[in-house]
Amino acid sequence: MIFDTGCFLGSWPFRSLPAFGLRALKRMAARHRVTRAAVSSFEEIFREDGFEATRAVATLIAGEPWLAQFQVVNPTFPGWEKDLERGIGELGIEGLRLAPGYHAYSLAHTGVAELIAAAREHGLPVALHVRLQDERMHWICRFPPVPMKEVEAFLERSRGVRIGVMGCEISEIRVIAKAVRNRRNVWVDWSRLRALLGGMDRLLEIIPPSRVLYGSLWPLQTPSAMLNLAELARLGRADRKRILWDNGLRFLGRQ
Amino acid sequence: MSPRRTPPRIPGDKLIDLHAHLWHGREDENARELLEEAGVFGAEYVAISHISVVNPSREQVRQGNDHVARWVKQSGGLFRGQAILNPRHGKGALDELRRCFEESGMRMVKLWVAVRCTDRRVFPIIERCIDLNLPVLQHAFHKATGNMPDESTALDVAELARRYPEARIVMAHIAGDYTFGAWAIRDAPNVWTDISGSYCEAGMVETAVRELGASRVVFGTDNGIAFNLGKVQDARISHAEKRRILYENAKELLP
Repeated sequence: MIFDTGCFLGSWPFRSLPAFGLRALKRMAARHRVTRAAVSSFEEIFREDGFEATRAVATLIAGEPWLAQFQVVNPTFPGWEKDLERGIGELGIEGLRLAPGYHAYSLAHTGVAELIAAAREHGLPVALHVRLQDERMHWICRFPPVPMKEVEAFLERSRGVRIGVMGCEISEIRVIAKAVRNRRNVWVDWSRLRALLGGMDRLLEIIPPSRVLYGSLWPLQTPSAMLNLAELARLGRADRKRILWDNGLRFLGRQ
Repeated sequence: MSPRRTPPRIPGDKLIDLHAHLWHGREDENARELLEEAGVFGAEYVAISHISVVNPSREQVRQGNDHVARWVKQSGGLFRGQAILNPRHGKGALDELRRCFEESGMRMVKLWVAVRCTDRRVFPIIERCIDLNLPVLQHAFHKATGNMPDESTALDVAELARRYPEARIVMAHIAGDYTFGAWAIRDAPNVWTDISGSYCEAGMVETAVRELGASRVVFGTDNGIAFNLGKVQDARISHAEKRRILYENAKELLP
């Protein structure tokens, strides 16, 4: 069983992808033994009226109890509080997703603090995407990654909230390693780990298996690349289950 | 420390990695990790070259190639050497090529970022490679964030290939932005591409196969078989195409 905390529906605006959408997500899940996934949509990130896309995701996955909807929120956009209220009250969203590099805000923005307060109040996990696609490869637009010093300070301000930091390179994970280790409710994924087999072992030396989450970034990325690293890491059975399943459930607040 | 699990089945059961490095200062560590990974996956061989600084001195180039030669000897056939050359060294680069070819048995050349590959100082090296029937692995990247001053793009590689249609050039990383990279070289039949580079982007392999044909795509990892193998495993291409990419094309280029 695998819990994939980083899946997206919809189409990526800058390039055709070989597979996307709910049917393809189901095929991917069946192939990789993914039995739970946290989903959002690209349209929630790239459309100005993102909440309409949030609503569309809710409709699309209504009959899919294995999927947990994570609403993408831009806490600098006017009226985001109302959209969040509707997401929680009307759509039953189970988590939040932030993409500051794509929405051009700093984690020090006052709206972020307000959003975190709302997440704390409602017990919602927050997936913070430092990047989605490699910033060197973007087409037409530039989306810089979130500076890790900002992430570190954000983690300090977000105590009491479950946070998943997604899309960090290993050098960036080193910057927040202490903050992650010192907190019970912060996790990192390895979607940006480009490494030999020993690289996964080294990640697990600086971040214990209890703080590592699987988030594939499907359909932007190929799950097998990340799963190969997890399968071949020098991990015992319990720790492998932890990073592929248990930690996802804990992040979601189900364990 | 737990032992590593059995790796996933490789399509076609055979694998050659045509692009890996020993990095300056970490040569032995890199070599040991590359050998471990090659062993885990049962690779027939891994082609390695040395990387140090952007514009290495003659001594740095020589020392780097010596590291490669030493590890090729120690590897029991699992490593093949690629001679790193700096075209700025003029005749010195050709002398180094001769030394690597005659004394160390290296049968492939690696060019990195000392000059763009359209620089006239590259031409004598290409001409010598044509004489010796050696393929050239040419670094290329097309970065939205800006290239290094002398870093080649896929357009440069295509221009070099048009100037020397007898040369056999492997463009590294599918030039980063894989769409741009594949489009740039699709009319240059003497250019192959490897699939290393950025992260595990979905669609990279399918795009390369669609635009270039599977016979022009090779498995080169830039250090990381498990991770890059995932791109091929998940690609929506035929088993025969996967076999070509993972093994047959490299075997033809560097038997």
